[in-house]
Amino acid sequence: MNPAIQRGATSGILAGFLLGILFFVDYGPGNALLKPASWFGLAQVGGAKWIGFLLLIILGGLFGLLFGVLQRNRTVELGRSLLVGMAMGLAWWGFVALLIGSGISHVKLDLGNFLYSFIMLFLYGLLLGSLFFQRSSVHRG
Amino acid sequence: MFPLAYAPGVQTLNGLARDDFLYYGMLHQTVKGRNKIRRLRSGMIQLYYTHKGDHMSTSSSTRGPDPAAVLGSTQDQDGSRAPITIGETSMLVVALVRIFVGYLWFQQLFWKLPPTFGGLHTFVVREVGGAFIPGYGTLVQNVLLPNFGLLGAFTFAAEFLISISLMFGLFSRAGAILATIMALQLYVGLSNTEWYWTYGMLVLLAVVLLPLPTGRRLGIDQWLAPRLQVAVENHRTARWLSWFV
Repeated sequence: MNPAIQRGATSGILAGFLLGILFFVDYGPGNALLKPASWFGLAQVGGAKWIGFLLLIILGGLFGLLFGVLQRNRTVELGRSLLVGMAMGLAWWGFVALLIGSGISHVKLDLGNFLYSFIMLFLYGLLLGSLFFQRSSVHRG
Repeated sequence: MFPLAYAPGVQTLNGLARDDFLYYGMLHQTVKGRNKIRRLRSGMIQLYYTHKGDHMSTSSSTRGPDPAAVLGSTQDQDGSRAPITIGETSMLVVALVRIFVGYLWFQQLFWKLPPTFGGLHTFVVREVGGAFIPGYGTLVQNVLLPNFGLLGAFTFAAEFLISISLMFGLFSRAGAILATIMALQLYVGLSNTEWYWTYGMLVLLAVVLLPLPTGRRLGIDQWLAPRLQVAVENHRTARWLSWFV
């Protein structure tokens, strides 16, 4: 596998894991983990919080993989990594949270839901780009 | 010659490289007066704005380090005032703390959402009787509560800015300053009504992020800081902004 794709996937998994931890830290605990489960209509099933946690890691890895594909055969630059990473976060929000979540699974898109999912997935993108750059720097070193 | 703080592999900005660094080092040895050392400070700022593969200098603010401490003066024979470098792993840990503190503020937005800012009202009312500074309760009752809509909008906007700044590492010191001010306000108004340290810790969490360049890892400041530093020479605004990254 192309090293950039591999690094993209692992950075995505790491960023998704970090996102999962952030989703866990709330008044629940872990009530926010129901949000990713609700995108696929799984918020009512048993172990929905665990499903939400795993979904964040799996989707994080998938978008990281896509990030790696876009970054392959390119010189690693911090600015571009962050930009493409945040674009991935935006794509995750657009395709999964908005299209599948609100469009298909009928998750209510009020201000609270929008703010939470949009900002958190944008943060995922930043973490993805930043981790990819850090890991590439270590690799070069 | 003193060993200085030069480390192989350090890349400096504005074309200043190893030879420049050593030049300043030699120059320092010929300088006896403190005032002359001060004159060298502007040059040292550039030299200490360094970033190498595995370490980041903590003395990367626009003010730069104390040259006496950096260069190894007679007061520093044992190296006790040598510049401190923070390792890559430590910087990542600090960056994670910054993200979590930002997330703490972000979560507090959801019980005071516009247009009603509902949950906030209870706490503002509680501040009327709970504040430990004389007159603060009166101010809240007579000025802030009658203009609750404005207060709610300001509070929401301020906490949103704090969370964006800290979570994304965007002008993270500015976010830490704003978080300190907001947490101090909560401490004054509410600490009497709950366990004192709840709000005390909130203040300290923000204060601890102030002196460190926490946004330089896992944050946009990592991209922003070197660009601002290059622009510092020609733009006063860049000099001012560079303090906040």
